[in-house]
Parts: sequence; structure tokens; C-alpha cells
Amino acid sequence: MRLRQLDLIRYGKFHEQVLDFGAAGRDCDVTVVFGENEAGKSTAFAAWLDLLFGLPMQTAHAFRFDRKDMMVGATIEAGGDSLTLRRTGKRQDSLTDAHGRVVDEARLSALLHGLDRDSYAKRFSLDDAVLREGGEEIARAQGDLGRLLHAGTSGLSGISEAMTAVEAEVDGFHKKSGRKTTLAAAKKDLADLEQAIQAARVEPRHFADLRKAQATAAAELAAAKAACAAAQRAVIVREAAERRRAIAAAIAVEQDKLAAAPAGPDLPEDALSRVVAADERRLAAEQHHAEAVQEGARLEAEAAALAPDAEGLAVAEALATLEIARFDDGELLLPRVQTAAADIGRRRAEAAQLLRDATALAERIAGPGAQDVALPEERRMALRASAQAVRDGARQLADLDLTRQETQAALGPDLAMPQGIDALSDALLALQRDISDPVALADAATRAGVQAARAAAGLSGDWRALAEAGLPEEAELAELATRSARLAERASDAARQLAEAEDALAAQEAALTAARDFGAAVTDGEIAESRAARDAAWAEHETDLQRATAARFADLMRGDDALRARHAASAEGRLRLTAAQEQVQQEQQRCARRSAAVARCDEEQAALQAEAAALAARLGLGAEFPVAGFVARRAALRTALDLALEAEAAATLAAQARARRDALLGRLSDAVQGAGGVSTPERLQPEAERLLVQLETRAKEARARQAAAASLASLNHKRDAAEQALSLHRAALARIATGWAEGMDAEAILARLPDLDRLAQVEVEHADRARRIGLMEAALAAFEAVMQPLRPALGLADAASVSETLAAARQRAKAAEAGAAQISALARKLEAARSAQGAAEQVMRASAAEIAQVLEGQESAPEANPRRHVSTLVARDRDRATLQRLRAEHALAAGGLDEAALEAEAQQVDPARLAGLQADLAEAEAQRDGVLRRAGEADEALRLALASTGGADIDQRRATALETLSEEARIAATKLLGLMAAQGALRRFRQEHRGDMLEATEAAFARLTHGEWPRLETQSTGKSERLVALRDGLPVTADAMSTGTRGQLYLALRIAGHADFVARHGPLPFVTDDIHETFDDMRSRAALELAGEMGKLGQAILFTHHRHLVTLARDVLPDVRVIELAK
Amino acid sequence: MRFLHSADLHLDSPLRSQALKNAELAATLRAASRSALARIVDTAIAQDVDALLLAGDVFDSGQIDVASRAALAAELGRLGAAGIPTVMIRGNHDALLDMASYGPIGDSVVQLNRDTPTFRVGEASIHGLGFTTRHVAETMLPDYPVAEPGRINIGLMHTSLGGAEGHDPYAPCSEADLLGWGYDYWGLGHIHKRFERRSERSLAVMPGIPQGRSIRETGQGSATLIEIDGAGVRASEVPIALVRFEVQPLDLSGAQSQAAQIATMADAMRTAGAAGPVALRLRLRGAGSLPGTPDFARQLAEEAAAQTTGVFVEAVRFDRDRTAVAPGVLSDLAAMMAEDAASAGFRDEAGALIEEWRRALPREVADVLAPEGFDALVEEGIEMMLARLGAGGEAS
Repeated sequence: MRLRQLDLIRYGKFHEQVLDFGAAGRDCDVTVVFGENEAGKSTAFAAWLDLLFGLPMQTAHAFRFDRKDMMVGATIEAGGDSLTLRRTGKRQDSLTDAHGRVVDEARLSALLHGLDRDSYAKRFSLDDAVLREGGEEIARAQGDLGRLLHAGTSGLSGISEAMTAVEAEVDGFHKKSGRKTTLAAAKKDLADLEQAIQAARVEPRHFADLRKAQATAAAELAAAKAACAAAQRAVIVREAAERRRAIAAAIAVEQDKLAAAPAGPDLPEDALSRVVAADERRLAAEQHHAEAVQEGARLEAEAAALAPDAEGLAVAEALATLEIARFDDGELLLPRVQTAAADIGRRRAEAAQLLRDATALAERIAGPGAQDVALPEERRMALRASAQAVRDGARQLADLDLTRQETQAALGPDLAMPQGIDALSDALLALQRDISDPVALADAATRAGVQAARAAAGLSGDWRALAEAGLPEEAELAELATRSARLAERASDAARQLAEAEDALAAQEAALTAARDFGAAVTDGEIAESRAARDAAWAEHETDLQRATAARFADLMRGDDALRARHAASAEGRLRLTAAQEQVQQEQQRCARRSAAVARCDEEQAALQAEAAALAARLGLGAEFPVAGFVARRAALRTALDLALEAEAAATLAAQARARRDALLGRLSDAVQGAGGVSTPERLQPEAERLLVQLETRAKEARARQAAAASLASLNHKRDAAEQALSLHRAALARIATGWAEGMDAEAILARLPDLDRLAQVEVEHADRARRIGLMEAALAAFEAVMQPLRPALGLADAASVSETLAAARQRAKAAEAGAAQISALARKLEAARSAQGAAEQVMRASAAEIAQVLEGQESAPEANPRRHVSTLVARDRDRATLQRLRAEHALAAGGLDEAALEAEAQQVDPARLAGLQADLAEAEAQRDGVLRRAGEADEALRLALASTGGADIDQRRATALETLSEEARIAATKLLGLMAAQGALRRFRQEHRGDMLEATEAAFARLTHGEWPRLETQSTGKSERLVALRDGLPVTADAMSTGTRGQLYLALRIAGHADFVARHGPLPFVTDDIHETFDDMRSRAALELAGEMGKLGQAILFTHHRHLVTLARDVLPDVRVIELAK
Repeated sequence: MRFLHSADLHLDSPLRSQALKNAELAATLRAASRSALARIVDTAIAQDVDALLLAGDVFDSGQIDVASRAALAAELGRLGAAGIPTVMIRGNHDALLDMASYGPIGDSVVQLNRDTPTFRVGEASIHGLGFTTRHVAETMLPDYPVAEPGRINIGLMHTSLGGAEGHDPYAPCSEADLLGWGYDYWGLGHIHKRFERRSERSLAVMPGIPQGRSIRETGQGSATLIEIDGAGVRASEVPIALVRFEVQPLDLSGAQSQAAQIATMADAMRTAGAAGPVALRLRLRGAGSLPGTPDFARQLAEEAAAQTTGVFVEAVRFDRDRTAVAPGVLSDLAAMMAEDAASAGFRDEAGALIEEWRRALPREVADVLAPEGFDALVEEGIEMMLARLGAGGEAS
């Protein structure tokens, strides 16, 4: 990039000033810009930076022109092209071309290789302050140049620290054999969670146990309930029998009471209340009758003393007629008469004033003596609309003319639209979106295949068929292993316990044998047999009384005596024998129980072996394979299958990725050719991207030109239409104004329209006043027609006012109406008294008939007091009802029970029988409750198991922990890989950059100082770096140098940095502003020589206010270009 | 007639997302699949459907937990009490639907199989065959009953159809054969992403998973409401999921401060959250130095999420910022890192290390370091390291 021309259009003190740096092509592209103090040298220097990076919000150069009006421009050469730019103070789109079209900042940023203002200023645009501040930073290894300078000799301290921190983070996640790493801790937590899940989960076998316990308990409960129901039925039968016996006794009592009661049918239910009510009505009616007779006599006497006022009633009738009289418009007469009497004078004055106002307005509109000036509203509106339309049309036409002229002036030459841009863009986008790497995927597929084969090694040949057919669940295998181990343990215990029991039995049998041998003990049986034999011999001897029978009895008696003596002497032996026999029995029973336990274990083991054999077959194992190894075998099969499926999927992915990439590259190549581009297969994508940028730029410019042309055409069309519309509006106005304002223009008409509106309003108001006055006069006439004849009767003069007449008439009418009302009220009261008398007589007759009806058919006639008689009959009916109820209760007490059982139970007279049956019931209920509790417990156990969330909640926690671990692993792996890449890159960087920057700086510094400072070194001081120069073998830091030497060191750093940058990225203008202030002539000459060398690589521009530097530059650099700024 | 069709409930299968570290979301999504089932039942009752159709994988195949089955029985019992039967088939994950081992689920629940392949309700005949083994490699279509003339014929099938990404082939079946079988409607199951296929007189719907379980199952989980009458078959989605998973790309290049980054993220989250609760995976571009500190980036995202309602952070990822780094040491290092990472030596050494890490991880998450993701990890690693080195260089 090269600065061809700097245009100071409106910037600082400058206005339309041009600095021309000439064409490129010289061997040495160095320009010295000379200006005296205040010539604007530093301003021009600042303008260059502002052009590149925009004007700061606060600028010291906005004194002649406002910031928003400031503008600096430049012509820049790059890659054989020339670019003319303008920079303004606008907040947005401040970078434009020479025609004011917005230029994308990215275009300029690309020419600057992404450098921002600060980076560019510190490297390529130096005044004395920037030279020194930036130099200090570089010397301390800060910033990009600083890193470059120190890269070869130091550890890049900041970078090293960052890498050390990353390494620690990676080790914190996972380290071989590490026990406190994140991964180790997470795996331990996961193991704990897995155990918790196993405990919380409702396993199928546990579920089966719970259901079995529930079924057993339910069967026991059914039996207990049946027993309980039987006991309850027995109690119910006994209770029913006892209740029926008590009811039979009560029935007999009621029958005795009814034998003495009067005969007759049952009274109606409400008999008593009806008789009492009828009797009370009769008594009340007799009293009402007497009061009515007395009231009638009193009212007749009072009415005879009153007479009506006929004249007053006539006034009232006339007044009533007036009160309701209405005019044709619906309003009442009297209010209007009263209003008219008060208002009519004032309304007549208002009407006269409105007439005068109308005359004055007409003369203002049309001149003195004008008549019939007012227009109807429709015509006024038409006039106003038409005049306004003429006014608007004229203004619109003027605006369009102005806009059209501006657009015409801005329109540039016509541009053609490039072809093939969409196809190229689509092809590129498709290729960019294809993020897969076919080579890497192929490698991955190969690795996955190897892993799969490794995992399947050692498995039987049919392992995949087994795995795909479905492996047993891991939990099922684990549960089987647990069950197998427990069963083996139980079998071992049972065998051991059986052996112990058999040993104990043998010992007890030996003890029994010993007890039997102990001193010929006599048992109780032998004693009984001996006594029976002796008694039989005695009976025989009593019958026969023979010697032989006597002898036999004597022998047997002696034998019995001896046996009894021996029985008494062998008590201990008998006890020992009995105890030994009991022990043997107990041991025999224990042996039997333990033999059964061993047999059950054998059965269970056989069943479990069958189950294990079936599972072993599904795992591809022999039937004798230990159960404990099933889980591991399942895991091996599962892993082998997973890896095999992964390998197959990886191979498919790799093939798909390769095919997709080839297709996309082919499509892109076609698109490049279609767009007129040329490419090589090796650089197809970058060339296509470059071509697309070019095509898009051309397309954008062409679209902008088309849009501007279309806009101009549209404006022309609008202008013609507006002109035509204005003519039509003017013609319409002339038509509407005919006969009233002929020849008057739109503005004059619009000026008179307000007075015309007011005149119309005044005429409307005058008409309204006249109408209202007419109504008032009619109302007063109607009133007088009615009231005038009545004034003598009211004692008034003929001229009495409306209000006086009305007040007198209303007073007279009110008095007459009150008298008439009093007479009418007395007549109504008299009629009421006579009606009450008749009603009371009717009630007395009805009450007597009611009582007779209630007692009809009863055995004896009513007494003088009907209430007492009916009470006796009611008591009789109640006894009859009681008897009926008892008989129903007796039948009901059977309660649907078997009559035979009830009868049998009635025969049982034991008073304690019911208590015994209730005790049996309580015992059955207690048994049932016990079973019910067990059944409830079994139900609850199953319900709780099924109502639980099982292992789901913990499984969710485990899944979340796994996801967290997964994310942490991914991040840690990225750090590991980034760290490895950075370590390798840093090693290479050090090797490649070692000393380059340092040596270039050293050479420049030595030339600037004429060999006085021949050597530079970088040194590490712990966490920071420093730059030192060697003089006489001793290191000297920049701080310790003179101001001039330090400035030369910092310039040497920039010269070396410039050479490095140009070698890597190409040239950028190197601009300085009076940085040679502190250089002596010899060192200034050396600096100019170095500037000449920079000018061979790129462009160097030196601003100075020292005339002798210009002379020196011409001497050192014969090709130098000099620009002088006028003051 | 109206039916509600769902599949792949995977009852009690856990959600796989870091977002559940958020206590509020964890409480919301406790037993998410059971809540989704409850919503399906509520919808069936509210829409007064003629039957609920479940096309397999009601359960998950991990560990058998009979409590899951009890939860299913309770919800379908509620549906049965409303007079609505449930018609279902077994999928490849449905060991718990073994009636012989665990008893019937409920009076209103019908499981179709080879013994009873058809259930009739009103004018409709519902046909279905369930899986009898974990894996069925052959098509089951030829074994389905022929359509019954004069009636509405509905088929339930658990199938991967012609194959789907991320799904092994289960009971494969071509779409053309399916739509030409003569049924009015095919209620499918197995693939977790919803889609519809239609021919002139038949409609097949894969309803998708009603509650997505991870970022791999994005979109609004739903059930499908079917209306069949003289005008044909119509299907409409009924939202079911308590929360959906979404990936949200976001450019932060215009945000110059952390406050601006949070505000930009919050704006995007508000837009995403307007359609209901969502767990977002943010894919950030132009995030400056944030790729170097992913944990801090997540904290910023969590802060933004706290300013919105119903939005939760699933994860934060970074898309590679392809804008050129300004010339300098870092750009040189970046180029060298990229070159080094592409070398065979680096790939072998780093690949072996990552493989060792992968083996150290629990099996369920080992895929995160699978070889096919190696290149992406390397690219992210370089991006992260450059961000860290840039920040470190500035600070020194």
C-alpha cells in the first residue's frame, strides 16, 4: 500500500490543500515534507491517521470547520489499483469514495492487514512522543513488536504463564492415578448414585414377592371374615328373639285400654285442630259483628254534615286542562307560558342585534350595501376544498422540481450486471458449510474398526448374533448373582445345622440307652398292671373261696407290694429315663426340620441352576459357567457390539463425507468457469472467493446505478402528473367560484372563507330567535283563552299576571278537591262496615258446620264443649295407633331372619346366652382385625413400592451429573489439545524467530550511533523482560541512555519492525513527524540513510520543520521528493 | 372420529442436560416424562378422543423399574375412567409391557400383538403388532391384517422406516409400501423427530418424542391429534413438552463490554423464550476472549438467563471466529498451532492421550471424546488457547 496523494479538503487550518507524493517507481520512495512552525505539518500528519481510522469524537483540528463538516481525502495505490477515499466527520458511513458513495471499512482494513489505530501508529506513524512511549513498551516486551523482539531470548512470560495455568486446569480434571481430580471425584459420586438407584428401584423379583404376600394375606382375610359373619348372625338372631318377647307384652296392655273407649270410626288426623280452629273462628266472628253494627251508625251521622264546592271544582277542571295541554312540538303549555311571560322581551332584542351583525359581515365580504352574500354550506365546502387543492398542488410541483434536479446531478454512467454470481456464491457457501474432514473421518473409521476387532477378541464366533438377539438386563444378572450367592450361603448353613442336629440326636440316644440301663426302674404302667392283676385275683378268690385262688391272690399281692417298694426306690431312674426320651424326641424333630431345610435349598439351587443355564446360553457361555461372571460377560458383549456398530457407522460417514466433498468441489469449479473465472484445482477455493468478491462489488455498483436511474424516471413521471393535477384543480376552482367570486384567485378565496362561515352562522341564529318568539306569543294567547273567564270567580282583575292567576286558581281548586275527597272517603268506610257485618254472620254459620262434619258417626252426641269431646276421641285413636305400631314392630323384629331359627332361639331361656354369643363375636372380630392388619400391611407395601418414583429421581440426578462430567471432559480435552498445539507452536516460533528482530534492531542501532552501541541483548528479570545495549561490554538499559540515544534505539526498533512486517505482509507507508529533534547531524544523516533503505522496501514520509534536514536529505538521498507547506 | 397419537414416551428415562443443575428447572422437570404423559392424558380427555394410540417405546430399556409401570397404569386408569381406551404396541424398549410377568395395566388398555392384532372402536379398526424381541431386523408389514372394508383402518407400527440418522434399523419398512397397504392412517413410533408422509388416501405420522431429553432432541415435543371423517384424515400437533431444547447461534462481535454481551444474550433469550420454556445451547461468534474461559462464558450466559423467564442455559459453545487475527506474534502462533495440529505426529500423540481419557470416562459419556469429534476438539482447543494467550500477553 502506498500513499499517492493526501487531500486536506476541510481539515484543521487547511482548505482544499493537496500533498502530492508522486507516482511510484523510483528506486527510493522517500518524501520529506517541510513546513515552518504553524505551517500545519503536524496537522497533515494527524490527517493521515484520521483518514485511515476515522475522526475522533473530540479532535483538536475542528477549529476552522465543524467536526461534522470536516473532510480529508487520499489517493492510495495497492496491487496496481488506485483507490480514492474521503473521510468525513459523520457518525456512520464516514468513509466514501470521491463521489460520496459509502466504502466498506473492511476494504481499508484489509489494506492495513487488520492493524488498528494504536498498532499502526506505534509501528508506522511516529511523532516524538509515540516513538518514545511505544519504544519503552517494546523494550519491556509489551505489545506485538515487544513479543517479537523478545521471542527468541525469553520465555514469552505472559504466554508461558497462561500456558502454565491451562496445564494446571487440565491436570485438575484428569491425571493418571490422580485421586483428587474432577474426574475421579465425579466417578465416585456416580458410583454412590448407582447404589442409591439400585436401592430405590422396584426390581421385578421384589415386585413378585410383594404381590405374593398380598395374595396370601387376602386369602386369610376372606376366611376370617367368613368366621366373623357367622358369629355376627348368631348374635343377631338372639337379639331379635329377645326383642319380640318384650313387644308381645306391650301389645296385651294396649288391648286392655281400648276395651273401655267409645265406639266410632277413627277421626281424621287434623280433627282436633279443625274443631279448635272452628270454635275460635265462631267466637271471633260474633265480636266482629257487634263492632260493625256500631261503626255503621257513627259514619252515617258524620256524612250528613258535609256539602261539595261546585265552583271551585270547575276552576280545578280548567286548571287540569291547562296542566296537561301541549303544543304541536310536544312541550307543555304552562311552563312555556311562564317562560314566555318572563323572556319574550329579551329574545326580541337579541333577534334585532343578530340582524345588524349579518348586515355588517355581508358588507365586509362584498362591500357596502351588499345583499344576499351568504352561501349554503355545501358550496362553501366545495369552494374551500378546491382552493386548498390548488394551493397544495402548487407546492408539490415546486418540491418535485427541486428533487429531480438534485437526482439528475448525482447520476453517474451506466454499468453492466455481472453473470454467474449466484451459482458461484451458492457453490462456495455449500463448500464452506461442509465442515466434515474426509481424511480425518477415514482415519477415525480405521481406528474404530481396530477398536471393534480388539473388543471382540476372545469372544465366541457367534457373539454378534447373541448380542443383537438381545442380552439379558444387567440388573437381572446382578440380581441372579446375588441370589445365587445368598442361596449357596443358606445351603451351607442348612447342611451345617443338620450335621449339628444329627450329632446332638446321637448323643441323646446314647443318653437314653444309659438311662434305660440305670437300676431297673419300675414305671407307673407296671404298677398299674400289677395292681389290676392283684384286684382280679381277689375278685376271683371272693367268688370261689378256694385255696388255689387264695394262693394266687397272695402271690400277686406280694409281687405287687414288692413292685411298689421297687417303684418307690427307683424314682430317680424314672425321671432320668423320661428326660432322656423327651430329649431324643426333640432332637429327632430338630433333625427332621433341618433335613427339610436342606431339601428346600437343594430344590432352590436346582431351579436357580436351570435359570442360570438359560441366561448363560444367551451370553454364549456353558451351563456350568459361574453366575458371578455373567455381568462382566454381558458388558464385554455389549461393548463389542457398541464398538462394532460405531465402526460401521464411522465407515459410512467417511464414505459419505468424501463423496460430498468431491461433489462440492466439482460444483464450485463449474461455477467459477460459469462466472468467467479461471482456477487451478489446488487453489480452487481461494480463487473462487476472490472472484466472488470482485463480482459482488461490480454487482453492487450496477444495482446502485440502476436504482438511481429508476428513481429519476419516477420523479419525472411524478412531476408531470403533479403539473397536470394543478391545472385541473385551477379549472375546478374557476367553475365553483362562478357567480360569487369570479376572477378571484385561490389565496383570496381562502382569506374570505372565515367571514363567509360566520355570516352563515349569524343568519341561522337569527332564524332560531324568530321561531322561539313566535312560540312564546302563541303560548300566552292560549293561556288567556282559558283563564280570563275564571278571574271574576277567583276575585282577580282582568290584568292579573300569569303567576297571580295561576296561584289563585291552584289554591281554590285544591280546597274544593279536598272537600270532595272527604265526602267520598266517608262513603267508602260506611260500605266497608256493612260488608264486615255480613262476613261475620257467614263465618259463624261455617264454624258450626265444620264441627258437625268432624264428629259425624261417633258413638255419643257432642257435648256443649266440642273441644273436650274431641280430645277424648283423639286419645282413643292414639291407643289404637300404638297397638298397630306394636304389632308391626313385632313382625319387623324378625328382621328377615329364618323363622325356625328364631323359634328355636326363643326356646333358649338362658339369660347369659346373648353375652356368650357376643363374646364369640368379639373373638372372631379380633382375629379378623389381626388378619386385616396384615393384609393392609401387604397392600401398603405393594402400594408404596408402586407409588414411589422408583429410581427415576436419582437416575435424573445421575444423568445430570454425567452430562456435567461430559461437558467438563470436553472442555478439559480442548484445553489439553490447545495446550499441546501451543507448546509445539511456541517451540517452532522460538526456533524461527530467534534473534531476527533483535539482530535487525542491533544493526540499525549500530548504524545510527556509528558503532558506538554495537550490541543489543534481551534479558529476563523474573516475570518481565528488558532490553539492554552493550557498550564497552557493559549492559545499559534504555533508561540510562541519553535522550537522543534512547530515541535512536527506539527508532532502530521501528526500522527492524518495519522490515519484518514488509517481508511478511507487504509495504505500508512509514510516516514520521520531527523525530530527529534530538539527533546530531551525523546521526540524522545515518537516520536518513536508513530511511532511504526503507524507501527501497516501501514508502517513507518524513515531516520536519528543520530546513537543514531538507538539505541533508537531498545530500544523502539524491532521489528524495520534497514538499513544502506554505505557512 | 378423533384420536390422539403418541410414541416414544421413554417413561422415567432421565433428561440429559447440564441445564438441570439449575434448581428451578430441575424442580420443573422432576419426573418430566411422567408429566408429559399426564399432559397427553389431559389432552385426550379435553379433546374427547375416541382412543389414545401409543406406538411403542412407552418405557426405556435401561434398568427395569416396576414403579414406572405403576405410574403408567395410574395415568391410563385416569383416561379409562373418562371412558377413553388406550391402544398400544410394544416397542424395542418395552420389556415392562410383558403382561404375563407384571399383570394387565388396566381394563381400558389394549395391547395389540400377533394373537390380537386388531381392536375395534366405533367405526374404526386399529391394527398393530408389537416387538417380541429387543431387535427386529425384518419388516413386519406383511404380517399386518388387511384393511377391513367399509371401516376406518388405523395401523400402529414401531419402525425405523427406511432408516434415519441416529437410529439403528428396527423393523425397516419402505414408506411407499406402508402408504400403499390400504390403511387410512399409520401411527408410527421409534424415530424421535416428528414428520408426516402422505399419499393420495393414506397418512403416516411419526409423532416424535413428546418431551425431548437432550440437545440432540430439539424442537417442540408434541402429540398428534387425528381427525378422520368423510373429508379425509387430518393431523395437527398438540404441544406437550414441559421444556424444549434449542441451539441458538449468536454473534457477540457488536458487544464491546461484558454488560453488552449479557444484554445481547438476554435479548436473544427473550426471543427464544417467547415460545415457552427452553433450554438453550448458545453457539457464540465474535466472543472476544470468552473462548479462553468457557466457565466464565457460561456464567455470563447464566446471568443473562436470570434476566429472562423460562430460559435456561444448556451449554455454551463457540463457533470458530474466522476473521483474520492482526499480524503479530499471536497470528504467527495461530498459524503454527494449526500446522502443528495437522501433523501426523501431533494427531498420533494427542489421539492416544484423548483415547486414554475416553477410556477413563464412564461409558455413557465416553462418546464426547469419540475419534470422529477429534478435529472439532482440536479446533476449539486452538481457539481457546489463542484467546487465553491473547489475554495473557496483554496482562504481562
